[in-house]
Amino acid sequence: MSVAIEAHHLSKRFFLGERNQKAFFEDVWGKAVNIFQHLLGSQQAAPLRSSRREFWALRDVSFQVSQGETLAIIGENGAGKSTLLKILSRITKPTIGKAKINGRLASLLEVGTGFHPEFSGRDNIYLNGAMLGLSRKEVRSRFDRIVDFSGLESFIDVPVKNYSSGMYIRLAFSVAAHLNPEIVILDEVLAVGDGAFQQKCFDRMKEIINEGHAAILVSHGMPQIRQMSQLCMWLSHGQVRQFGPTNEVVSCYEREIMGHVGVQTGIAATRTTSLIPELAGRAVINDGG
Amino acid sequence: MSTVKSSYVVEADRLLSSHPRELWTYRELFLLLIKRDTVASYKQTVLGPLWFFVQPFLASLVFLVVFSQIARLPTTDLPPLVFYMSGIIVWNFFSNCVSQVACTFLTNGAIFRKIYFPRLIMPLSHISMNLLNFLPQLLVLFAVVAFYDLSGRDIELSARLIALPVILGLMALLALGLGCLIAAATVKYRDLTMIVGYLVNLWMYGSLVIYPRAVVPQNLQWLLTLNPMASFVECYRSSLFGAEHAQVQPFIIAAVITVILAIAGVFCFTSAEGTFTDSI
Repeated sequence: MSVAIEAHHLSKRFFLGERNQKAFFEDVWGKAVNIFQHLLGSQQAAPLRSSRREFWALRDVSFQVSQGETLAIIGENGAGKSTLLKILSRITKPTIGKAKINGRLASLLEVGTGFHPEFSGRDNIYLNGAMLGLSRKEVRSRFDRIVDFSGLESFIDVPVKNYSSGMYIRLAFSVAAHLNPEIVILDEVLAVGDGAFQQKCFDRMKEIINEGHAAILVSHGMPQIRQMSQLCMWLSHGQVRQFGPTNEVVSCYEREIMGHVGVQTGIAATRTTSLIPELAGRAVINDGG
Repeated sequence: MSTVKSSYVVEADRLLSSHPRELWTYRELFLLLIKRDTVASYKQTVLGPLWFFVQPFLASLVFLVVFSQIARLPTTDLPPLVFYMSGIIVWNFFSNCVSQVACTFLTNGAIFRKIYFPRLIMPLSHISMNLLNFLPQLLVLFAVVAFYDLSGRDIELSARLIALPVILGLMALLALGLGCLIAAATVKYRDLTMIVGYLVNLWMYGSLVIYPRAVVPQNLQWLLTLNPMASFVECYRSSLFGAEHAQVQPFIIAAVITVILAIAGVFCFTSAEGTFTDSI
């Protein structure tokens, strides 16, 4: 089995705090000191004084995904999931480390970005396709399937600024779902549109995964993750807490989360419980189909 | 499946988009972006594309009154209106390019944060669109020239017109270089976007747009040599009308400055694209 994604020691540092006058003068001062030291022939640079706190969103994350495998990434908010996806999809560079991506990668981080409100649905399909790296010919060959999937045939020549937000999302997802990438990254995009369309998206996602491509899935819906992925990575504070078969990792994760919910306030608890039955319901429907 | 072509490595000390060849694979996006910007700029305007012609006319008339009638600045052999209008349209082209390219990271932040494509596509499409907007304005200028010809004043279009694409290309390259440098700097310091428009406006007064080289005192001529746009504007007008005799030496200096700035700009831009989402 060939390797689709290889990540070695990925780490990402952010600086917290604004760039203001103070930060500017610290920058300039730091540079000046550095140059001065360089002129004096001093080997080691003095640590720069900075009012901007550094923060490691990811620390030493290594993993590997082969063709045909689906890796789920779980963890609380701020655990570094999105940062990891951004590095893999070439939005931002890692501070340390290296990732190798073998094959065309499409990331559905947030569908519909890059749509232009004045453009018709048709033009936006071409624009969005081009942004995601498809040629005009490739888009044309998929055009009918995309429109058909979105169910927006009668609105396809209307500017998308006149679309409802639901229609907008449907069109965006339809483009993304027909990219035929070799590697796909999904970040909570399954929850789009109304119930029927959500189901359609969900099925399409399964199809993409079953077509033998590699996939990385980020979600808070545990039933979904159990169903769609074999491998699971649990990120916590930027580090890999656990990596292994989905069932094992998810069970540990759920045990820990449930422990937390018991301690935390009632608001958090109700929010979690209201989310879970909804997702569980969807998974059940899918099992039948 | 084009597995080899589409594979990539993300690494700490490597540019995000390292292959110039990659730009070519995104050529269709480039064309669609030009179309997008063109469509977007006329939606919900009454005059639509007519604005392109109205704006330089009005500006030329103001210059005509202020600089020719009040300040009595000479304008070579050309009628003042033709002199000013030719300068204004080319300066507008240049300044629009610089200010749009300079804002690349700020205006496209939302897209850049979600989708990867070679970011350089954006500045290139802005510049091409401005070039497309410039051409009809040039036609209007020719119409004005024809009008003068009919009313008895003889203005000959020069045979050196063939040099025009080269000069416009150099201006575009200079705008790309400067714009990219500023864009890379805006990642850290957003103040720059506020002063760019202002500085480019001031720059016009030193770039032979409203007066010919001949009126500049001898002891200030070196300033013109340092300003690539002065030489380009002069050569541009000379290629149109053959009225001024553009000098070779300042032109070569200007071209060298342009190429250096363009290389530096593109380099800074591509290194900034790897980290800009962290701070904007």
